[in-house]
Amino acid sequence: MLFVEPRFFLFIAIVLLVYWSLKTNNARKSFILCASFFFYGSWDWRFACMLAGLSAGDFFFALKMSGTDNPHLRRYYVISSLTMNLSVLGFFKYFHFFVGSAIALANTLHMNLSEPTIRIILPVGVSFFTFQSLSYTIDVYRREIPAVTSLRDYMMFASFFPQLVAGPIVRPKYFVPQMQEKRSVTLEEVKSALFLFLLGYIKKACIADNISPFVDKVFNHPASYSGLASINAVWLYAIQIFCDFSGYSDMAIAVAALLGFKLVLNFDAPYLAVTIQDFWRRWHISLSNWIRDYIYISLGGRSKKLWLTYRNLMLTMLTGGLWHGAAWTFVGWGGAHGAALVAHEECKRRLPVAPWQEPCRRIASWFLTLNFVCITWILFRASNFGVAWIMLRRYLLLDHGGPDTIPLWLAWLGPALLIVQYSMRRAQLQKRMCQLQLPTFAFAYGLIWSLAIALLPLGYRPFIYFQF
Amino acid sequence: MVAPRKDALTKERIVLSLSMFAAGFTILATALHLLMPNMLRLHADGRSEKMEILDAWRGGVYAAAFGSSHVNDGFDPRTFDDELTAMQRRTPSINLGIEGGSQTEQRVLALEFVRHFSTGSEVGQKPCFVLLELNAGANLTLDHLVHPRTINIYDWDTTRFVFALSDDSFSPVRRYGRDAYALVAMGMHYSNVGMLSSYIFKPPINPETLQDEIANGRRGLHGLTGQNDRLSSETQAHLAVHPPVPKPQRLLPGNHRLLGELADASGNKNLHFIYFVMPMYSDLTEYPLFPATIETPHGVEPILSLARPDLYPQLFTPQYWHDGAHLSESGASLASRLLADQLRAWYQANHRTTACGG
Repeated sequence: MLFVEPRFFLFIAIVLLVYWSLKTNNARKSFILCASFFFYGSWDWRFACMLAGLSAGDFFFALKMSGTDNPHLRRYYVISSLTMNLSVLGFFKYFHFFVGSAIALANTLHMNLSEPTIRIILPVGVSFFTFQSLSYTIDVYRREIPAVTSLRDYMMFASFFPQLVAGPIVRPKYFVPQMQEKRSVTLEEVKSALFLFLLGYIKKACIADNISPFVDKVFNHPASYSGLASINAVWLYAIQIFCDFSGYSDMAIAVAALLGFKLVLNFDAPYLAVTIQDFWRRWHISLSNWIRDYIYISLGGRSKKLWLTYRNLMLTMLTGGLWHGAAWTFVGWGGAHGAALVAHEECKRRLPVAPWQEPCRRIASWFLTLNFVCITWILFRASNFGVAWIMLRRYLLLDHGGPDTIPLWLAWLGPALLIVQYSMRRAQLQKRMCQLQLPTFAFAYGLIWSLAIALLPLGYRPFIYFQF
Repeated sequence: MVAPRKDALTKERIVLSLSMFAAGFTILATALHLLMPNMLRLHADGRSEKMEILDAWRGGVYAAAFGSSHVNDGFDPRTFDDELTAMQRRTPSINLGIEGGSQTEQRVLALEFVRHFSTGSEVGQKPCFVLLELNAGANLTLDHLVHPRTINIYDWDTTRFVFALSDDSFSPVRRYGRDAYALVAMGMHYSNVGMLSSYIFKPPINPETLQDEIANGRRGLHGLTGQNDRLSSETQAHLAVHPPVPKPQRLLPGNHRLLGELADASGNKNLHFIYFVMPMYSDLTEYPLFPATIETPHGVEPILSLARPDLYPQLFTPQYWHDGAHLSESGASLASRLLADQLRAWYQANHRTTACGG
């Protein structure tokens, strides 16, 4: 069940109606838990059972941890939780990757091995909910939060349907306290959530889904497309992935807000970032924070020895790359970003900027960052390094390519959307919309929905980040 | 900064807000709808390729067959034209049947054909036929409900046409299900679902489909291979013991309505609107039996039927079938010859002129 499907609209209407008609917080939480499992079960009930099992396991380990001061036992329980979650993630997501890589390595050593015939279906959003569960048990282990004592409450946290399958990754210290009290919403918050949902819907359905056929055409047959078409396709993919993922996040945050819960901001105009570090503070913020807190810091974080800091940065970004997808191209993508972060640290250290140079530096740095991010999206989107190499050569104008093209006017879409985004931020459009009187808001809302529906592509495409 | 005013939530206010939402939606939807160019021209895979073929042949064809995949796969313009050579002069025809098509889709395509029908210098010499599949489904399939094929064409006239494609003999589920499909599709049509994106991000014509339907002078025929092994001799054996049973069928008000609409749209071009029934392999056990003629605004016209295993047993041999519902290319050739034969025989027997023109 995707957020842009008509059946989701029916689902959420029923959920909201029942949820707000329930009087007690306990009843509401129980209902949300059922709705979440129904939502996840609409993909595959077997995976809903798996989610329930994982959640129960983590609940148990955290409870045991909080019940003892024995450091060995505490360590044992947190390792058990890590093993359980990472085993599930490793099996479902990385089995074919590791086996395929091992076979490829064996074949280069003239040891003929064939891939097992087992086909593993990837549970939707497995990377998201395992990371969310891990953050809970690690936080309990670090004594940053107390363990949740109600199984129902913990399972609701672990399976909360608005953000279950594609984030934002919710941290327990932020979300669990919200569950303790009966939620309420103001009219302002409802208007804000409705507007955010519509914005997300437009990003996903009207922008990302409309341009994806053009991107797919070029990336599926890169050899036959011209250099200009390839550059255009890379820019379009940058738009597609942003609109697809941030659109989903917007809708998730909006749906949670309609239920009275606040989720963290996941995107903050990342293509306006002026450095690569700035980009990672704006792109998929919940994941950036997660890998910072649980991988980068665990590795030692910023060290007095420079090479250790750089090693930690590289390892963190390589892990982040692998988290995104079980393929070497994703590892390459993470590595490229890690290298860029290291290079940025070095530049900051060696090339201090004089105050009078600052405006020019910002513009040049924004341009370089944007193009670097676009270039690395090639690795993210390409099915293999061969395709990525062709696309990279085209992007750098080293190769003219084939005769096929895609409409040239699409190249204006990126700059146009950047200007729209910049203007919307400056004008504080969302805030202004919410300040409108309800009937005026409703009229404007109807107008925008009418436009959005006319701009729908027919045939829904799944969210890109569902595969992660 | 202006402080937000108090926005109290009362029942009246909620009703007012919902009405305002509906008003905002309707105003923009209406404006967009009025500004939208010819919706039949918006992309709808399958139909767009046929429109391309129609545009390429406009002015050069004097007859066209409309309908579903049974026509798309089963009407061969080459054989049909050859068979009609003896009847005054050869009439270049075209196959405008569409896979998964319906009465509604054949209606809009036939209207488009007759509206822009051009009678060139050979006016009055060519026979001009608009061949309509009588037994095509009323609506497109449920899979196609949220699809440009449906949404782009279900205006009020199409919806009324669907209402006329059922009568009291239908079960309530079938009748109201058919009407409900049309109403939902009409709602989406007037909400412009997907139309603007189709206009802005216009998808390309499928070159493979197009090439397949114009190769070897097919003029729209989608050639399928025979013979389907599943259509074994069992049915033939059954036939030897139990001859095919006719099942009488009634014409629906919509069938007459379509002819009226086509006559109005075509003006004085004296086109002949001919219904024909495409065969199914299952006709070997029970076949539909429609009236032999129908009254049209231009006089009585025949209803031709290929679903007659009693008259054309040769058509019901497995080698002419791709599957139980679709003829192979050789089957299409035979069926088109039989169709032309029926047509010629009827006109000769009834001493009717077939030449068209103003």
